[in-house]
Amino acid sequence: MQISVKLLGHLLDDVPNGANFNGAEFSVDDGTTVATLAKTVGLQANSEYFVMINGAHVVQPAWPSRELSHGDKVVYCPPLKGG
Amino acid sequence: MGWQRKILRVNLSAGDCTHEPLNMEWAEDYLGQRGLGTKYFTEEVAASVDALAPENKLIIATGPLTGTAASTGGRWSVITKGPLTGAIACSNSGGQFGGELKNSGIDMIIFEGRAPQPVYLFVENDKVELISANHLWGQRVWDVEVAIKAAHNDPLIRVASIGPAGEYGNRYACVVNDLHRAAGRSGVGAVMGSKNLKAIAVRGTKGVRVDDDKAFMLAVKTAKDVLAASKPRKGLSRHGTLSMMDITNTFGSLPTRNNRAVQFSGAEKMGAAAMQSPNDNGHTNLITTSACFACTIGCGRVSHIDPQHFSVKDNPRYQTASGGLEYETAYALGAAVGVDDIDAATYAGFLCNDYGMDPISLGGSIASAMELFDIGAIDEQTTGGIKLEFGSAEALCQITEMIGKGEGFGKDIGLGSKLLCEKYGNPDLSMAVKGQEFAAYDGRAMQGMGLAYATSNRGACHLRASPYGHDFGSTEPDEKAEVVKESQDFLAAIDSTGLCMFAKNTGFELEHYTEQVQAACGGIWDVERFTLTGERIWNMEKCFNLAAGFGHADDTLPKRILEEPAPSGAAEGLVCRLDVMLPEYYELRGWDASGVPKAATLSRLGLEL
Repeated sequence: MQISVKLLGHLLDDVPNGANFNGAEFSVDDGTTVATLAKTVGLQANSEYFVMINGAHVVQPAWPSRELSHGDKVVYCPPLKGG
Repeated sequence: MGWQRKILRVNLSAGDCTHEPLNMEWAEDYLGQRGLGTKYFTEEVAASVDALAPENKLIIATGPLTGTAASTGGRWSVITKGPLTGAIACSNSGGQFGGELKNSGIDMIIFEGRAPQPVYLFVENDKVELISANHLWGQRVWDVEVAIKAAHNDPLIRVASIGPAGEYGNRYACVVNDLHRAAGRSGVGAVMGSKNLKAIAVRGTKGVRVDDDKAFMLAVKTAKDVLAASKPRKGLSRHGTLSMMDITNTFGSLPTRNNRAVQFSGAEKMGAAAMQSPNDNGHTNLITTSACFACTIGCGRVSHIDPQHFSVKDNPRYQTASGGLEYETAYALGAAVGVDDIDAATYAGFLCNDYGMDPISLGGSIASAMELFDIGAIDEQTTGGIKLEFGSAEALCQITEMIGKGEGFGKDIGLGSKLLCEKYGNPDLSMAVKGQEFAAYDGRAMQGMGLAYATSNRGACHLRASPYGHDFGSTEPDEKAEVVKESQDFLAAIDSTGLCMFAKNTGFELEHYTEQVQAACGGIWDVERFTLTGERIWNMEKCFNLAAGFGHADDTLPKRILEEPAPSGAAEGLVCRLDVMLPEYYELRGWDASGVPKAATLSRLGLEL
């Protein structure tokens, strides 16, 4: 299935070829979850981020079980602290 | 050590300047800057004072690490009673001024009374002089700084001054230093103006001694190494605070059009990438980056408006490189007013620096005025012919200049959104707490920030607590009270050191602050003492506000945030659950159900009401 993935902020620098994850579509296997997608993208286990899918927030406890659907737009965001 | 152990007291009414020893007993309990300045202020000024009366005082305070080699050690604060809120005001700035002041040999300046004629204070190490500023009154900040340096024939003098906004009593006038850094919030510049004090000019070459040189340099190096390796620090250096725009817009916590919306369709045009990319004319807004005294983060931006842009095309004064947009300004002069023109926002930001105004409160107040215009509560007759519509970059630029000058309807917007909306019959349209406008986070998606706004001692503020990580993880109200309370305490302590909270945001643990404080000041400064000091400062500020007449009813949010569900994003359908969080917060603070500190709490902290 086709999904799109976007990385924001310094997460772009955290993964190899981060610039490719700019919302462009690519293929993943059926059954891919938010958690397994993060590994595929290359996000490190100690990276801090939150996840939005199609504009809705997906809380961390749901990442291992939340399966993606064709056409999903996934955004990984670093939880920046403001000032 | 760390402290210079000396303060300068300036009685503007009498024209007297005298040095006094710093109260070291207080310094041990309140550190410096925000904590120690507020201790002096609350001991010397009645809470009932009129903020713009001569009886109010204005304190310029550094911390024990200001002016040292510690990374980010350039912070200084202005403490007074704020005319925007009527509450305690403490506004923090960076740049070079604070380090220079500390190196002149003093920890703080206390201004009292009102000068019979405009003056500026000149400090050159031990030499202190009040000088007539009649020729500078009415001048904008950028001209004042140039004129003072020229008058003393010394380009290394550092200047903090007010512009025309502070002179006419704009309620969110700020004190601007080094051309484009500012003690921005709560109207501290209007207090300075009410005292006929145009500027403070400083040259300091004495140095700052620390208690244990070797331990201090080791602690400084350790802390700098942490920042050097930190990914968030690298991100902040490279993209500036504007990188937050994508995050809040994606999450749905970017206040848009006076908080009617929480996501802005023009956010992409106002973010870090837009600032670094050429426009259709091939012009790039960002020129370079900048850093404050001793800072190894360097979040500052230096910008240049496209000379073909309507705002500067026939206005060469602003065809210059100056302080560019940071996230808060880009929100307030962008999403808040529905404007997606980065050069227009940069221009309005330049005007804020030049006329001496807080862009957050200015943008929030203009947003309120735009909603008043939108619902027909005011019209073009009220605004002097300006079509004050959301999204109009031209209207933003025009009205900002009118506010800076205090002309026509601009003077009304200079009252701040609370008084403005009350005057025009729609008090619920002010997006403020205790009279101070929201920063760039909506309290529905970021529930912890909602609580932080409601309980902030200086009115709505994004710098008084740090619930960001927790808020981006969950929109439920659970655990927010604890996160807010704990971060309020440690940030109060950080704001009292002379260092920047951005170091905490990008890599420092609290131990990195305490190790540097201990090496500089001597004694034992562990995290427990540090956070207890912060808690003491927070409660001291709270007690002042209670004495000034603030109570439980003021620890709240605008109806829009409490009753109108967020229209989209992570919090779609949610309101801020202050009803759940506030009682829990009071309990954690050791306050009663009305938000008054219990006797046992005050006793534990060495305070009294």
